[in-house]
Amino acid sequence: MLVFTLKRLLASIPTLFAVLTVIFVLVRIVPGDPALAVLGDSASEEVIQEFRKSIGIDKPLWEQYLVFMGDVLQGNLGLSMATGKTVVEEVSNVLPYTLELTVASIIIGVVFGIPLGIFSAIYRNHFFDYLARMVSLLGLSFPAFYISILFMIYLSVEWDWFPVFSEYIPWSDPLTRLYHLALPALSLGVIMIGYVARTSRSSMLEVLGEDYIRTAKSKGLPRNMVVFKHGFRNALIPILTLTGLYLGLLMGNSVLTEIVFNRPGLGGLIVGSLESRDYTMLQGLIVTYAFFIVLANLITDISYGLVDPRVKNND
Amino acid sequence: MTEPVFCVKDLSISFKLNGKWCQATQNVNFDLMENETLCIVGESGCGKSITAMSCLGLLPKKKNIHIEGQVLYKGVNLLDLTEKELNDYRGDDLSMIFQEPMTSLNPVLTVGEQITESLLVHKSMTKAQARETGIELLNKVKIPEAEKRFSQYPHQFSGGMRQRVMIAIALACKPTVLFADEPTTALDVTIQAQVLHLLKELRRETKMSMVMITHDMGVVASVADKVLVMYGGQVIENSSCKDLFEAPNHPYTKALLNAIPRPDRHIDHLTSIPGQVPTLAGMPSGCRFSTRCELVSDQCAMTPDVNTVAGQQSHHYRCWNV
Amino acid sequence: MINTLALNVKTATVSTYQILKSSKLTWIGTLIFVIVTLMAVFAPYLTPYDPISQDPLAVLQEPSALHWMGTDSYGRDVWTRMLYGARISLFISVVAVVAAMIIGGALGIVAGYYGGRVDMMIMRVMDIMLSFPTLIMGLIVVAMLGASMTNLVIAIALTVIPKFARVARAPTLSVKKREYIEACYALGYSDIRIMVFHILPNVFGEVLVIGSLWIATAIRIEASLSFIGLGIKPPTPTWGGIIREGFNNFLDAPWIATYAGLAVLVVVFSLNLIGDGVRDAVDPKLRGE
Repeated sequence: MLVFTLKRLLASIPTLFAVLTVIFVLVRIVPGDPALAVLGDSASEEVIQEFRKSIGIDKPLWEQYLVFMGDVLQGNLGLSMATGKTVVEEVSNVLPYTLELTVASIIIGVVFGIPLGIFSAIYRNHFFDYLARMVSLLGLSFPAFYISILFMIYLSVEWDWFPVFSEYIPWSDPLTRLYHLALPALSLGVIMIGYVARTSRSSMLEVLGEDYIRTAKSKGLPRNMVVFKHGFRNALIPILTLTGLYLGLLMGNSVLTEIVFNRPGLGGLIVGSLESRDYTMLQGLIVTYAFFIVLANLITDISYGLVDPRVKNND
Repeated sequence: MTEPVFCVKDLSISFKLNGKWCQATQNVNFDLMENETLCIVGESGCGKSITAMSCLGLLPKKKNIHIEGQVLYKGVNLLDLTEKELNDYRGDDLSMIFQEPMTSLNPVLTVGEQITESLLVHKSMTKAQARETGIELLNKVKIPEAEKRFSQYPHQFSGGMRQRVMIAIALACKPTVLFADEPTTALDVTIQAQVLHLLKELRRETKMSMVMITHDMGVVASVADKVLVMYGGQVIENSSCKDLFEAPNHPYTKALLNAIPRPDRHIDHLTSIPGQVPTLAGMPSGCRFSTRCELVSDQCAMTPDVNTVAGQQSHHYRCWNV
Repeated sequence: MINTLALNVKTATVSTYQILKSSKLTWIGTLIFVIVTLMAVFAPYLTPYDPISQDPLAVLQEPSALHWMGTDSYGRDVWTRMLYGARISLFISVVAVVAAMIIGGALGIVAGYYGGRVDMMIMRVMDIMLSFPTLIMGLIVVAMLGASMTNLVIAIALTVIPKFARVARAPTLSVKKREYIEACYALGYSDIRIMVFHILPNVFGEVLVIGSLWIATAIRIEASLSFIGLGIKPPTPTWGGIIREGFNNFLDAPWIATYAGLAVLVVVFSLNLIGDGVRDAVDPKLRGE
């Protein structure tokens, strides 16, 4: 298992390289001039040149690429143009809040979504199945900002169960943190439940139609054993992969939730940097997201090995 | 005369397909004595696998499947039992081997876990006892290094080896009747012979009865005591193995036997049966083989009676023109 | 053999059609979406108000017979703005998905057709783009380009292109091996001609079906970007923008965001209902036969 983990870890390094390269290219090939986008059309030629020089886009492309990769590898994401602090510092100040939110919503999604989907598959075409399918379809149809607003209006403002604003959350006080976390995590969690339940249902249905389930039934095993010991463990493999994919979705959605709840986090940072046209911060944030996406894929890969013996032994 | 261990009486199974009921099997009958092997032969889609599945109550109890008739094991009609009651028989007295060894084993459980499972459930063994019995079983189905193989996963086994594991699973609780649904079809020819040989040997040793489903007349000749030939969901001929090969009556059986290559006959090409098996929805009325039969006559538009061959009490066929 | 294959394909499409026909929810979804589209098209006939002109005397009014969804902080009728907003939001989403369908489909066919290194390069890039959260991707692109209708379309299209590339590549790989494509080689047809006239027709259906599924995502991304403030600039109504406006006044006028968001939810939900039906029909395993 250790060897397997290390191998995956090594394998994710070229992926990270590739992701960074794609980001670099993407940022450069989209039409439009960042200088104009940042400074506006009315900026004078001089100011524009100055700006280009300051962020290094006056140099030839290959040089820009080398500088970019070199800096990233050294953990240097530059200085924020708005605050003057290093991007790394700014990011690491708010990162814990975003991570906390993401992890909490994944937990909510998995804890409620998997059973919902599994039972939906087991009671296929019964009333419960229809209900569960509609609930999960509704969950995943919610725009993240809308469900956050609804929760905020009805649970915080009307009924006063939760705090309305979370601008400052003391990191050292776990109870307050949980109090502030509950509603944002629930908003994202409801959407996650939708996705996870749906994935769980379809992969469980697929597994229940497999030959080895028939074998298990022919052994005269009790129904629960057939469904859970033989079915569930196999269904878990695709559930894991897709949940890994949904992590990306969750990161995107967390931006919206953080804005609505006015929570510190990457979302606030990214919107702030858009407003203040903080180009270096933006690039730094993209790299940060890229890093976490590669990390999420890595974790998915490794947990794969835990459930599927074929993966572990073939390596 | 002794009582049969297992018998099927007038088993008819229908499916609802696109809002229309289609009969997959019609009035299938057979008796199985102790220590006897019955082969059910027919082309794919003739209802042989479905018959075997329903013998273990493996067809789902749903609104779109309708089962009539009786499946009697030691006098108990398995079709009347609930899923829970059936589980007392399945894997214990009655067990089954399937066609696809590659997909019939659970990829995430070790072979050992899969073999010992039914021992733990049906024989209330301790884990250690079950392990011992499991390794013994692997030895019995001639898997080398049984102890090491016991804790490996299915993907580490070849197709033939997996089918041996399947056999070990099926034999774990010393079943009275073993159902084998085309156990060798998916395997290479040499492996087929080995697995068949193993099954024959184990059957002799354990005195169990066996129902083997196959489309291969060669397999029939080598293992069967009794044969049931099915076509289009009906049994069109049944007899002892010897009688069937010596004096087949139904034109379909004859055609099947003519399709086997035999070294004692010098022919340039194998005879094949013209045409295709009609689909369940498009079954002709009257004799179901009439669309492909050489001897077809006007009479065949009516359903033929079941005739008994003179002098052979247990040899029946369903045809007008013999 | 060829006969039976043809037969199989035929029965498969027949039952797919039957599933679509028998699935009431799919039809409810289609109905809702068609109604919303018609409402967007005929917006001027469905409301006496103007979406832009302000009325200082009717600021933040509660929903009433006059103003079904109330009025916003400039005294504009929210229902009217939602109707006109639907025009823009649906237009952007559909154009973006169609653009992505064309570009992504072409990339997928090229990757599948040429195989080897071309395939690896294209699909690798697509995979990486795919792993990036759609919203963040859109956010970055709009941030780089500046907010305008064209740029929104580009941003949304970019996030869904990889999905179409994947969908188009798979059937290309299998079609490529058919005899009639080999016959095309033998006749000396150019690669482009083979791809356009012989592979594209085989891939088209599948891409189109999947395309309908991505409109829901496109609508959600558009609304999210407008909500963040990266959409089309006010006073032009967009769904995300209206919700944002309502959210800014949520203490005084919670109904604006509630109703406007509900409309977006219903449309996305209806599209997902359609998508669900299509997926069930396409994937026989989920049908459980």
